[in-house]
Amino acid sequence: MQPIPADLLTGWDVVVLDDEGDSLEVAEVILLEYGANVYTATNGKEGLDVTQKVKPRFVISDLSMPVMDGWGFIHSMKANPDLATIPVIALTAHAMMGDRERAIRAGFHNYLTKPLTVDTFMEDLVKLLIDIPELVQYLNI
Amino acid sequence: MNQTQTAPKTTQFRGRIRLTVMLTFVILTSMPLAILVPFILGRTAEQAEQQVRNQLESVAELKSAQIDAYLERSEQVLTIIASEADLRQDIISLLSESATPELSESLAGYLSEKLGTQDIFREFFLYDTEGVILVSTNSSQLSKRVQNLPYFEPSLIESYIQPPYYEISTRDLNIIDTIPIRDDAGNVVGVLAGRADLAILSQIMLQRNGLGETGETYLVSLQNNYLLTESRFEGYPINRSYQSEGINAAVRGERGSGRYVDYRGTTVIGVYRWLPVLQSGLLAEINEEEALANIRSLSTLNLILGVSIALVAIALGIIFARWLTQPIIALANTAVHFAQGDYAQRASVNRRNEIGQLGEAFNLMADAVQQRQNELQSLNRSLQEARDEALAAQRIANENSRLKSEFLSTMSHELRTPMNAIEGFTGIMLKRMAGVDYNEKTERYLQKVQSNSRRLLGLINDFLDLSRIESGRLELAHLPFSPTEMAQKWRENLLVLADNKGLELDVTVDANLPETMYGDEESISKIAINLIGNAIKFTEKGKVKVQVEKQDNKMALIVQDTGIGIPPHAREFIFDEFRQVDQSSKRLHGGTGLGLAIVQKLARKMDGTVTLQSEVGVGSTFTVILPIQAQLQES
Repeated sequence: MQPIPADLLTGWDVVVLDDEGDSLEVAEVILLEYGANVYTATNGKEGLDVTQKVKPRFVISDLSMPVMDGWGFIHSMKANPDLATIPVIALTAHAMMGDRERAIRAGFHNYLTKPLTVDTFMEDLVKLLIDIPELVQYLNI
Repeated sequence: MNQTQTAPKTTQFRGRIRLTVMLTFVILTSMPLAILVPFILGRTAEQAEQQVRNQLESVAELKSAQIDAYLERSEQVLTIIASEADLRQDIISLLSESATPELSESLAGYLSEKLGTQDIFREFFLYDTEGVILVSTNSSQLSKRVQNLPYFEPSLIESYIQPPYYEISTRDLNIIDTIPIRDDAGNVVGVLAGRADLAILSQIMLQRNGLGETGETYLVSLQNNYLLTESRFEGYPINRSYQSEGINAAVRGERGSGRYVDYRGTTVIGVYRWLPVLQSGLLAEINEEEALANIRSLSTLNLILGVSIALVAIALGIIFARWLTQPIIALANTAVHFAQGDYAQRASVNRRNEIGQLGEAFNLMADAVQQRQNELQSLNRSLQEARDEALAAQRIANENSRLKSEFLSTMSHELRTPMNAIEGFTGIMLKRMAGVDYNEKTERYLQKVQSNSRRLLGLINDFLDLSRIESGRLELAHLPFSPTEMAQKWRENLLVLADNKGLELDVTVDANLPETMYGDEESISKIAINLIGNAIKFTEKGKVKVQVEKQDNKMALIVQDTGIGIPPHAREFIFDEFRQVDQSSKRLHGGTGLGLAIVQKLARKMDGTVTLQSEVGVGSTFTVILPIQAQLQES
């Protein structure tokens, strides 16, 4: 795979949901490094508000969160016609077998596991984003 | 089984056996009766008829004797009169030329006097050898001629009795006794005759002693079968012709007896005989009906007796059948109730016979069954309790399992979250993101942090995988996947590791494998990656060769290396957790020692096997065989 250009996500609005401040910050730093405008939320309810406001290209969401977890969030996203088309990628420390299938059935576009590694995170992310026709045109590859 | 199903069975049983026993009883008792009664009746009827015949024979004999006596007496009477000397002389004189009317009158007077002294004859008369009646007690007969009458010629020779004959001139039935009168020289000069009174024969015949209500005796003349004596029945006058088997036989001169239809058309029992002197048949008859009346009433009596005996037999049969079947039915009902689960039921058969023994045997069996039932019930209770306990234990176990699963899940999450921060920030710093800057020494230390955090993460992942497999929480997926793409991913994942050590990584997939297979790709990949990772780890130079093959409808994963090999003594335990060939190699090669344990447990979970071939210093070959037959067929 070719090296990922530093301006891959320049001009992209991305929302990241995580109740864990450190995890949220790791994702935020990496995405910022590749040029994205990152909006954060610490639970599903906040995430819905931010997403409604920003209308990002995609969302990265943790599953275990207080107030409204990732499952409630994806449910609300898919129930809302304005938001239903925005891809949501799950990022979770739940790495048990079967979790991936469950997440995809619930409406997540795909699933990444924690701990994320800086080396591979963007590669994995690009692989997922290439599969989304609406987003391919915006990728600066 | 409920009551309504079994009740009709018992009823049917009752009906059959009762009927059988009863019918058998009736047949056995009635059969000898049915055979013997007609036989005895026949014999009795025969004997009775014989008796009647004998009686009739006696009567006929008596009548015959009476007739003989009568005839003998009539002959004697005439002989006495003829033998008187005066009379003979007078007759001779009368027959001579010198006869006078006075003499004739005198003779007539004499004969008339004699007529009054007896009751056999009603007329005496005297005729000459020419047949001219010279003297008669009946003056109207004087000068009549008898030479044409049947007795005339025999009468000139010796004493003769003319059998009864019907004289047309007198319209009378007569018996004529004659005796010739001879002169001193012995020549017949005339004949003295007496006309007998037939009423006496009738009197003899009409005496009906011993002949009952319908018995009669009568005489029948040879001449035209004329009835000579009166019938006791009205409408059958004498001097008429009559026919019957008895009459015909008698006038043919036969003697015998029989049962036949008499002149009236009535069936009689009769005896018949021929009386030569009278040239007549004597018959004694009695109506069969009367003669056999006794035997008839006897047979009626027998019939009543037979029916009574049959009825008694039926009644006895019913009672016997009831007596016989009652305890059997009671026993059957007891057995039915017993079978329906009333194990306290006992047969109450108080008979000192086989049925009683059957009842006792049943009760013994019932005791045994009840005892066994009680044992079973208590055993059942124990089992129930044991089951309840087991269920409770299982609930607890399930609860424990759920808690364990939850714990594993939480543990996984909680361990990964801080790892995420450690890995993430280390990576960010090493990449110098977000404007971070540091010197060479800091970078070396950061790399140590990263490598140790990754080792820790590997340990955590293996540990969690193993826990999950051992706790039984792992559920295998059954989803389609492409073996070629799967193997490609293995290569992509591990190529960097191989490259780092300067090893060749060769992955080939058998073209005979189906393009799409069904199964748990993730578990298969975990096995492969562990084995391939190990192979790379323990190989310093040469290559690692991975083959995915089809072997008899199974999938074989063969991982071959040119590494250090595994000594024989170690092959038994290298699949155990936390075991490596030796502790020093752990430090040398890293790793948790959990990889092969995971491989084997996953393979077993998929009903597969793991085998190892190895030579120290040459290399090792791990072969995993996984059954995919069903998947192959489905695909």
